[in-house]
This record gives sequence, C-alpha cells and structure tokens, in this order.
Amino acid sequence: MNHYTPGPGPLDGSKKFRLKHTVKNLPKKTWTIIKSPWTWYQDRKEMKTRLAELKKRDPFIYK
Amino acid sequence: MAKKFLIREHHPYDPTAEYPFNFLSKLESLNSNPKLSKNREISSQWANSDTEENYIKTTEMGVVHTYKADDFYYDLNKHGFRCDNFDTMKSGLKSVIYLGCSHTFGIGLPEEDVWAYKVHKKIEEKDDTTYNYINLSDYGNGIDTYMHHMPYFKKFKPSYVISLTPDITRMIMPLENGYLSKMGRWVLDDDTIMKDFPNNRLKTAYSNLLLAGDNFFEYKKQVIYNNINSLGEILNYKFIEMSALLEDVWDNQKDVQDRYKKLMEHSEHENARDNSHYNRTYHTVLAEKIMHKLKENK
Repeated sequence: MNHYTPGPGPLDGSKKFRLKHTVKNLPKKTWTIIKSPWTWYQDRKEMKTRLAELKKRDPFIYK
Repeated sequence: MAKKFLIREHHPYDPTAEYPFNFLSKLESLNSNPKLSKNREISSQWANSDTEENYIKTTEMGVVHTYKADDFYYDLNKHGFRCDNFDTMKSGLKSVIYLGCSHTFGIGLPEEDVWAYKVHKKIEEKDDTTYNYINLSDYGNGIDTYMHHMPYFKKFKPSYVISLTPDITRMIMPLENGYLSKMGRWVLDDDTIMKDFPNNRLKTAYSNLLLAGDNFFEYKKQVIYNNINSLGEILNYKFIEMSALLEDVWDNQKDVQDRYKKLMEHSEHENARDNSHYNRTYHTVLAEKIMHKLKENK
C-alpha cells in the first residue's frame, strides 16, 4: 500500500549516515504524507472488500 | 507488574474448571427447563444469538418456524458445555470428543438434531459399544480454542476426536485487561462490539491480519491440527476434521452428491430456531459426510 517504511533509527550508523539518509528520503517522506488520505481511503476500501468476502464465507455473528 | 492471563485457572475454555467466568453471561433465561436431567447443571430456553426477541421478530416477518419456542432447551453441564457432567460419566468407557463452533453446540436446534449427536449414535452403532459423549464446542469458537482444550484430552480417554472446523479467521486474543476475547470478522463489522476498547490496538492488529490474507490463518490451522494429530498417536485416538463452511461441504463424488441433494430438497422449508444457523436436515448431511470420512480414514 506504499506506506513509508522508516529507515535507520537514532542509534543506527554514524551521524553522517543518518543525516544523509534523512536528506535522501525527504522527498519520499513528504510524498507519503501528502498521499496519506488516499492511502487511508484505499486501505478502507480493501478492508470493506475483505469483510464482505468473509461475511459471505462465514455469515454468523456472535456478540 | 506482569499481568496474569486466564490460561488455566477458571479459564473459559478449560473444560475441567467449574463455572468459568463467562458461563452465565451467555444464557438468557436460566433454569427454564422443567425436565432438566440430573446429569446437567443448568438450562436455558434462549441463548446468545437465539433470542426470544429474534424469534418474535422473525415470526412477525412471516417466517414459518420448524420449532416452537418451547420445543427445546439448552441444557448445559456445570462446565458450560452441552453434554452431561463430566464427573457423572462412566469412567471405564472411552469417549468421543466433538470440537467446533455454534454448529456443533447446536444453536437453534434440539440436541438430538445436532450433527455431533447423530454422529455419536452412528459411531456407537458401528463399533457396537457405548462411548461418553463429550461436546466441547461453544459459539464463536475458532480453532484456537482447540489448543486450549488439548491439555484435557487425556482425561476423557478419547477414541475419536472429531472437528467441524469453523472459519479459520476466527481467533482468540488477550485484551488489555487480561481477559481473552473471541475475535472474528464481526468485531470489525460492528462498532458496538468491544465498545469498552474504542481505540483497541488489538482490533487494528486483527484487521491487519485479515488484510494480509488467509496464509497466516491457514498456517495456524496446520500447526494446531498437526499437534492434535501427534497427540492422537500418543493417546491412540483418530482425529477427523471437516470444514463447517457451506462451500466446502459438497463432495465431488456424484452418487454422494445426489443423495445429499435429495435430502436438501426436503429441507427447504426447515430452519433453525434463530433462523440463521443450519437446519436439522443439513446436520444429517454433515453427519453422513463425517461418517463417510471416518470410514475412509480406516
């Protein structure tokens, strides 16, 4: 679903490496944030389809 | 402080724990059966999804019910299962354990119309002996509950363990307060369920598992079934399983299929009392199919 996967954590690699990684991935990060409502909508749509499929397969409800 | 999860002591799926904590919450009208057997502890006319309200509503909608409101009761033993008290059973006899969901519990049906009861009679007839009838099913059960029951199989001395497998996506998850919750797709369908946990991380985790497809659940099923099979080699019982889902029940064999179709033709007007679960003729079909599997397995 094109979710942003985090890169190195605050203790991974050298300072230089982390800075380089952050700068390199800045456009990708920004694009993920801009796209997040669309991703959320797609996820929701996918979930609805899956639930409908499961409802057909196992129609019984227990509360 | 680490939380103590209710795994063994007074655990809802421990068949030897008397009065598990969710025992009374699932029944609606307690001790309503005037002819309650001595081997049972408690009875109820209605149950969780088979309610009086639902019965009246469907009757008003024009549904012709096969069973009248007081045709049968849910008579449970003191462990909360729909079979005789375990301590009153004959200790010298071997037993047959039935595992499953509400179809095996028999929601909407009298006990003698449930597939498990029919299979039990047929097995007794086939082997020409008497077995103890142990029905460890409950509604909303998934195959996770089988794992909870497994440590107690030895006590029942089973000759057969028969499962009508529920949908594999059902599972048990421990809630934040330590209680175990039966998770199914209905948890995500209806916001009123688990309303005490509005932003429940378990719900999110479960929805992500569902989105990931059936592989995880299929894997879990295979692990559990391999365990039950291995235990069977030690305790010397046969494990037979069949899917409870409608689409999986039909055989490819033509003669068997034709016989099922004939049976089903007569059952169109029949319904379970909750107007949702399988009717009694369908249970006959299930019983025949399981017996077919059992004989094949020999």
